[in-house]
Amino acid sequence: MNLWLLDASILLASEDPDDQHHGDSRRLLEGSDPLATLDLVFYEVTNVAVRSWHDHSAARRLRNRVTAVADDGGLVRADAPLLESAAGIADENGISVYDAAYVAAARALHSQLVSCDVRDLVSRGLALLPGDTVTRLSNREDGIPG
Amino acid sequence: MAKVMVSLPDDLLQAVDIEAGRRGTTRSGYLRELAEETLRRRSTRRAERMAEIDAEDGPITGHGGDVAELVKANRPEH
Repeated sequence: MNLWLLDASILLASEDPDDQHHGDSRRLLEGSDPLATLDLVFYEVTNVAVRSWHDHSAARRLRNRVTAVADDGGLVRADAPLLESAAGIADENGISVYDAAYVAAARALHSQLVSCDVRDLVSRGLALLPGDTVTRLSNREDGIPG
Repeated sequence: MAKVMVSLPDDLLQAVDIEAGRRGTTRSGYLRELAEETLRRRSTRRAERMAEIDAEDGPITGHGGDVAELVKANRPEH
């Protein structure tokens, strides 16, 4: 049983059929592994849905999805210790404190961060793509270790 | 596998032992099953909730993709 920590891109990809990670993100959200996220995600998904998509229905659905994830594996609070950790991760990896906060949240829960952000997170080994988690889940159900 | 020490009231521990015996398992095995089942049920509820949310507020429409970059573009530093 893996605990996955989701960043905003996973929730947004699940709501956008045009995104290349849409299908994998939906499979992750509808899968059996426990999921958690960071409180920052409420702001980030609403920001994109309202300011870029101009889609208030999507914004409402996204907030409900975040709540459903929070009721499952939890909603990590971006407090002073987490931001202290995020600042170190941001410095070390040359990424924004926003992205680093998700990495810090995943580490705080001893979980794995999942993101569609290849440039700053996946390429640095700080996160997995949703497709990678779905593959691991399928392998586990088929009895393949990994 | 980690070993943990758990405090339980005597009457609850007795009930756990009786149920574990009835199921042909150990105290540890039964407590492990209970923990797994509780967590699984929570995740199942979340998965069901996702399907319900799909039906809320009209159809899901495409927005052009590239959501990871959109998240960054909407952050205050930009």
